[in-house]
Amino acid sequence: MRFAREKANSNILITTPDYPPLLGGLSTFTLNLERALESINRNFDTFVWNDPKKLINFSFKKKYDYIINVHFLPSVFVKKSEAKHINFYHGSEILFFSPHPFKRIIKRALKKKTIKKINDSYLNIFISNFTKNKLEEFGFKTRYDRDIILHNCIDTNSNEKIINPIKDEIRLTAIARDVPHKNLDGHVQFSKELALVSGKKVKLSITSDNRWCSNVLEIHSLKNASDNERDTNFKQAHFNLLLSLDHSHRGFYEGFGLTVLEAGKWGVPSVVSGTGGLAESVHHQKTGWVLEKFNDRAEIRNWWKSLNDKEYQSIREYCYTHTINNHSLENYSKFFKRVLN
Amino acid sequence: MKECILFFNSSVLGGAERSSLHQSLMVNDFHFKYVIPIIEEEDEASELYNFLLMSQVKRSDISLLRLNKSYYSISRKNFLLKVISATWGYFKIIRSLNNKDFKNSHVWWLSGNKIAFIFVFFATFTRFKGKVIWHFRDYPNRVIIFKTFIKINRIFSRYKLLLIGNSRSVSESLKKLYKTSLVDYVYNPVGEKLIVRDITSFKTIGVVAMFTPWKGIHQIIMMASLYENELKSLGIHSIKIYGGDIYKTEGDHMNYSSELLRLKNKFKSSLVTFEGRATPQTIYSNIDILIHSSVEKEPFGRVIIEAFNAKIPVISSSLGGASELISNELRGLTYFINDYSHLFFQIKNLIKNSKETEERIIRAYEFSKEINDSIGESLTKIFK
Repeated sequence: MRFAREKANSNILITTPDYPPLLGGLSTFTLNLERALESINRNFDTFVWNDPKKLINFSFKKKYDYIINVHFLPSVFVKKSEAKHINFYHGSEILFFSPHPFKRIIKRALKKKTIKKINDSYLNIFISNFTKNKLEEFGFKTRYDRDIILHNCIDTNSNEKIINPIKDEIRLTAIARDVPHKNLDGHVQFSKELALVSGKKVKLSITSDNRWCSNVLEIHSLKNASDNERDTNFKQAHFNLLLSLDHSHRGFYEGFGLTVLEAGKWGVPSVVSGTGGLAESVHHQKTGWVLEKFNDRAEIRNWWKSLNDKEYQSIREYCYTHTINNHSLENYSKFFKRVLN
Repeated sequence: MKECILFFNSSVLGGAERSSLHQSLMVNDFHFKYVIPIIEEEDEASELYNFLLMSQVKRSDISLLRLNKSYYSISRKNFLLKVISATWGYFKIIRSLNNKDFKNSHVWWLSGNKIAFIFVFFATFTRFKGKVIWHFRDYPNRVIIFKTFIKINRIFSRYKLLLIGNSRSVSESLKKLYKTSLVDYVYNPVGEKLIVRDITSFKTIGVVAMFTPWKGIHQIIMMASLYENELKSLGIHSIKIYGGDIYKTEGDHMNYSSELLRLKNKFKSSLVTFEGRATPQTIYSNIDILIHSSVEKEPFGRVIIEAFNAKIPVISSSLGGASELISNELRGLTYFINDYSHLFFQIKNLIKNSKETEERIIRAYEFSKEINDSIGESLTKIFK
């Protein structure tokens, strides 16, 4: 546990489990929050914790007016103060699940108390309606003056509306951790089916070792790719894939699908499975496509046949505009300008 | 002349009650009687009662029917919890009904699901031989309950049961219930004569909805707060929220009004005002843009068709039946729910692209007239 950033006259604290140089979604999210607060000239401290046990009855020496929790646990465990807690809820962390049986029992035993603490927060910010509804399944009752939906935003400073017509080759990209619910095998299967129904050469860039063999598909490994390499890959792609599975019962689902936005800022539309919050990040036939039966050849054929170049280009264009207008960090700045009086 | 009894679903004058009455006035060759359910006090029906009188309905054709509260206060959300007390209340209602009051009518028109659950069973129980029209003004959320209920009644009934939706979207969901009884759908008419103004500048945004979370009013408060300066720069002077809590049921909506007030304290905006309930004439004379903000599928979206008829441009979340009215941005703009910036950008689009907005207004107005002109004929066919 440490302060990654501390200023003498700050009345706002950000708490986070992940912070650079550690990579990961919450680490990037914390940086984005910091940028948003800087843009509205707010002084703040950033506190990094990595062991929830150490948070129990922990108290901060300084008096803060607001504590922004990137992960909600500090609002449950740290000693009660007058600070207003603003918690973000991203996805699977609200499932009261752990692969470790003992931890799972503890989490479930603490469920009631946890929800009570969440109820005491000043604001609960859910990145998708799906995540809010999931928490309701555990007994949480929504209060509309406290519980807000605020979709994810990303740094869109570097962006480009790339016009990339589909000719003889379809280039797909799938950037996701190689874990079961991210369904990388499903991405490869979809790409193979697309090669068969389109009759075109399909090239898939995927964040994994190339463990698949295929005659109809060219697979390029993006494992360990740098941010620049990922961006280059997005810029060349025709479609971004995010065909995640709902593994809520095992503790995992897609909260929103950040790569949809990362691809969108280059004008690359996404094809998603519609599980979790994906149907909220992709607006079907407007900024991409939500395919419920993404493993079904007939559905892939129907989707491909319905897609002409004019429609594809107009979706690319709208996807780009939508990402820049509606998912830039300016939205966080606006939000916190209102909240942090 | 044949007689029809129109059973209202609620004692409070809302969109469904307005629509039912206007539709009944469009049916030829039938004499109508009107039954208003009363849950607590007779006063609760006074607005609807007066509305009927003002619409040239004779006092002798209106009757009040006292119904048990425990059945009537059940909502979608707490159905299972309250099912025992609701069932008790339900059978108390059935026992209290007097067949003499209804048996001579040719048609029972059940305008909503709560009243339909009572009178479909009562029609079976009393061996009614006429026609029962179950008008779905909402989606049948618990399909299995609706399906079982209808199937059991069909075994013992002697009447002809017809199911009608109030949009294609609702009608599609009825196919899962009982295909053979499904007639189709009939849109809601505007009914009242609305004043059409020439809008020269867009100053006032209106939101017209009952106060319940699925109507999404909280999104409007958020958007108004986050984009207050930008809205003012576009010339917007105020955002008027019309409506109130009219529901007698328990559920999500119970604290929604106070939550909205508290939300407005956290996300301040000088633009937003709560105007309470008002007549369509008052509302559409005072707004220049309508935002329809439902976050769940809207069975129809009466306020949209009213705005069309008053030549007020519409921005809608366009879910369910509302999407049939908006028709892929042909007659109104759409926005993505819970996306405050998208809602703001669509307001900006509407104001800045005046030529396209004008074209949409004209198409929407023509569509509202088409609906009004065709409903009488459609309904008369169904009644015959």
